[in-house]
Amino acid sequence: MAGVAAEPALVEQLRLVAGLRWNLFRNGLRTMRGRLELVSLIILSTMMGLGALGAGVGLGVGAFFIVYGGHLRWLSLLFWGVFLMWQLFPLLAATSSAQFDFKNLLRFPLRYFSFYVLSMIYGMFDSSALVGSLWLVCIAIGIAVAKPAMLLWIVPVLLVFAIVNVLLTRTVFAWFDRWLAKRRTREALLLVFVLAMLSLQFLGPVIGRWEKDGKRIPLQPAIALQIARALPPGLAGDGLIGAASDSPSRAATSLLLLSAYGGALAWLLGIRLRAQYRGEDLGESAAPAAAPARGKVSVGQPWRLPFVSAPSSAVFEKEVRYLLRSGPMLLQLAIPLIILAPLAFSFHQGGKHSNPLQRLPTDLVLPICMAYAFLIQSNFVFNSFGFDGNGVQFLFVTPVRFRDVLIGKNLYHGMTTLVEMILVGLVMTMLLPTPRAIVVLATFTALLFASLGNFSVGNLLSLSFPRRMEFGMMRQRRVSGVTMAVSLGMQAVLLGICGGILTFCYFFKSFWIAPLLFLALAGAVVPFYRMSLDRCSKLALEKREVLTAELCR
Amino acid sequence: MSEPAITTEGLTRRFGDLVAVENVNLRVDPGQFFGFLGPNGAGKSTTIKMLTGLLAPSAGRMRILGIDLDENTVEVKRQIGVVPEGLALYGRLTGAEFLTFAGRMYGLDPPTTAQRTGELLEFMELADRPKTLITDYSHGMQKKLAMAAAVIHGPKILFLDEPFEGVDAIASGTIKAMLQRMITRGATIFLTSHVLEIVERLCTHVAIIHKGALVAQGSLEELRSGIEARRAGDGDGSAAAGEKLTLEQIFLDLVGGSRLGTQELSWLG
Repeated sequence: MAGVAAEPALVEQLRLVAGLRWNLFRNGLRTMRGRLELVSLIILSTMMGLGALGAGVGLGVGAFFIVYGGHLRWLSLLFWGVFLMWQLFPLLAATSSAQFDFKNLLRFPLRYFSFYVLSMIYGMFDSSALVGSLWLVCIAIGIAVAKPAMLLWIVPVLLVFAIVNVLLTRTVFAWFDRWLAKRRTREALLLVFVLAMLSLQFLGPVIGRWEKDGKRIPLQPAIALQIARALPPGLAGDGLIGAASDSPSRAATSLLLLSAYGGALAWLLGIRLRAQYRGEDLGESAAPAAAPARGKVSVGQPWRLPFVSAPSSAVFEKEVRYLLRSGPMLLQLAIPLIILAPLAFSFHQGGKHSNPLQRLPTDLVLPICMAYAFLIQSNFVFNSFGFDGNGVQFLFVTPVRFRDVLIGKNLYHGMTTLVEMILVGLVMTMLLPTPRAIVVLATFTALLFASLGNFSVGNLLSLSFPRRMEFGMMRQRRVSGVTMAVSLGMQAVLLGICGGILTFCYFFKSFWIAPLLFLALAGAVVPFYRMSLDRCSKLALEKREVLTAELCR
Repeated sequence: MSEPAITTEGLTRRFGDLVAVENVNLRVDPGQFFGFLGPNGAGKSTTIKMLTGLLAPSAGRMRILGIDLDENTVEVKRQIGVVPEGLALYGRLTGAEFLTFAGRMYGLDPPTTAQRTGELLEFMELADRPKTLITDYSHGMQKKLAMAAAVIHGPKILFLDEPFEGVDAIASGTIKAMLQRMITRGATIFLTSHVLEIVERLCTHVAIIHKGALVAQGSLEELRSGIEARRAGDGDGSAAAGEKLTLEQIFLDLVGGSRLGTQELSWLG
C-alpha cells in the first residue's frame, strides 16, 4: 500500500538545506579548480574579516567614548555607518559565495511559512549581514562597558535593528528583481532615476534663488536631522539615547517604531515571497500581440562593425541586445552616476556641506570619479561568459576562433565603459569646475591603458574560471573566488600605476606628461593583449569542459 | 570509393576512472541517415560531443569529410551543423536575432543571413511571434530553432543529439520533413535517439553502443540478418518464425533487456 510521509519539521528542513549546501561545497572541492577557489576564498575572507574586525573595534571604541563622555547625540552616526554598509555593500560588490536559489525547494511539500523562514535565515549569512552583525556586537560591547545598566535596552534594540537590516536588504533585492524583470517597470524605474537626476540639477538654482532672496531654505540641516531620526538607524540611536538618559518611554517608543519598520518590511517581502511560492515566472517577453498575417518575414540586417570580423561583430551585437534586456546590467551602468551625482551636486552648492570631493585638488576630481566608475564596470570583464549560459556551446560548434569572440566581448565592454565615462564626465562637468583639457586627455588615456590591461587578464580568467550569472537576478551576481582575488590585485596594480603617475604630474605641475606616459604604457600592453587573445583560442579548447559544465547548468 | 563522411579510430574518453567511450571505430558514409543508439549512460552523448568538438577525446582519431578534427577544427565546423544536448541557445534573444547571430558566426554575409533567417522562421513556423524571447518559447519551439540555427549555413553533415525528445507530433513532423529533404539533397545526418520507432523509420544505418563499446554497426538489414543468423545457430525458434525483427528487438537482443520488469517496489501503490 502506498503511504505518504509526514512533512518534516522546520528545524529538520533547515538542517537538510544546510546539509545540501555543505555537500555542494564539499563536492566542489574534488577538482583543482574548486580547491583553488577555496584558497582564494580563505585569503579574501581573511582580508575582509580583518578589515571588518578593525572597523568593528573602531566602532566599539567610538561607542564607548560617546556614551562614557555623554555625547549621546552622536550615537546614531554609528548606526548610520552600519546601515549604509549593510545596504550598499551587496549592491556595489559582487559576491563570490554561491547563492542558493530557494525556488528549487518548491518542488517539495514546503509550507509558505517554512519557505519564508528558510530564505530569511540563509539571507543572514551574506557577507554584509555577517560584517554588520559583527559591528553591532562591537557597538554593543562598547556601550555596555561604558554604561552596563544599558544592557537591558542594547540587546533588543540592536537585535531589532539587525532584523530590520536583513529584511530591508532582502526586500529591496526582491522588489528590484521584480521591477527590473519587466520591460515596462524597468523603463518606469529608469524614468524615475532620470527625473531624480534632473531634479538635482534644478534644485541648485532654486536653492540659490531662495538664499539670494534672504529666505530660509526649507531643507535645513535641522530638518534633515529630524528626518534621519525617523529612519531605522536614527531610531536605533534614539532608543539607546533614551535608555542612557533614563527615559524608558523614549527608548520604548523608538524600539516600537523600529519594530514597526520591521513589520512593514516583513509584509513587503512577504508579498514577493508569496508570489515566488506560487511559482511566479519573471519572463520579460513583450505581451503577445495579435498574430501578424502570414507572409514574408522581414528580418533586420545584422550589424557590421568596421575593422572587425563578422563573428566579433555578431558577438558585439548579441552583448548589446543582452545589455538592453537586463535590468541589473543597466543598473550597474547607473550606479556610478547614482553615487557620484549627489556628491558632485553637493560640491556644486559651494562648500555648504562637508564633501569628500571638496578636499581633492581640482585636477584630480575627474580622474578619481572616473576611476571609481571604471572599477564598477570592470566587474564583468573578468567573467565575460557569465551571461552566456547554454549559448556558450554554440560558440564551440561554430567555425569561430575564441580570439574573435573575445574581441567582440572586449569591444562591448570598451563601449559600455566609454559610454559610462562620458556620462560621468558630463555630470561632473555640469556640476563641478570644468576640468582642463589636458586632465581630460590624461584621464581617457589612463582608462585606455587600464582597459587593455584588464582585457589581457580578464579574457584568460573568463575562460579559466567562468561562473554562470543569472540573468535579471541582482542577488545572483557572483564571480569565482580566484577571479575575485586576481581582479582585485589587477585593479590595485593598475590604479596604483595610474594614480601614481597622476599624483606625480600634479605635484610637479607637469600634467602634459601624463597622457604621453599612459599612451606609452598602453602601447606596451598591446603585445600582451594580443598574446592573451592568441592564447584564448587554444585555452578555450582546453577549458571547454569547464566552461560548458559551469555555464550550461 | 568516396571519402567517408565520418570515421573514428580507437575513439576513447575517460572521466577519471570511468571509461565512458572505449575504442569506438565508426564509419558513416556520405548521404547516410545514421542512427546512433544505446541505453542511458552508454556513451552516445559523449561520442557526439567528441565528434562535434564539444569534448576532447582521451585517445583516438576522428575525421570528418576526410579532415582531421584535431588538426583543423575550424574547417570541420564550417562543414557541419550541430544540435547539442542543451540546444545551445541564447535565451534572451528573439528567434530572428539568434538566427542572425548564427548566420554571422558561420560567416554568411548580412543579406544572405537575413534572407535565410526569414525562410527558416517561416519553415519552422516560428515567424508568428517575432518579439518573443527564446527563453519564453516552448521546448518544441526551442528545438526547432536550434535545428534552424544548425542548418542556416547549409552543412554537409548534421549532428543531432536526441532531436525528437520532448517534441510534439506537429513539431516532430516539421523536423522530419526537413531532415528527409536534406538527405535527398546529399547531406549526411547523424542522430542519437531513444525513440526506436523513429530511428527505424528514418535511418538507413545504425550503430549501437553499450557500456562505452560499439556492439553493432551497419544497415538495418545487416543488423537484422546478423541477429537472425545467430539465433538460428543457437537453435532459437523465434528466428525461424519468418517475422521481420523490429529495431527494438534487435536493440534489446544486443544490449540485454531480459531483466526488464523483474523487480518490484513494495511501497509503491
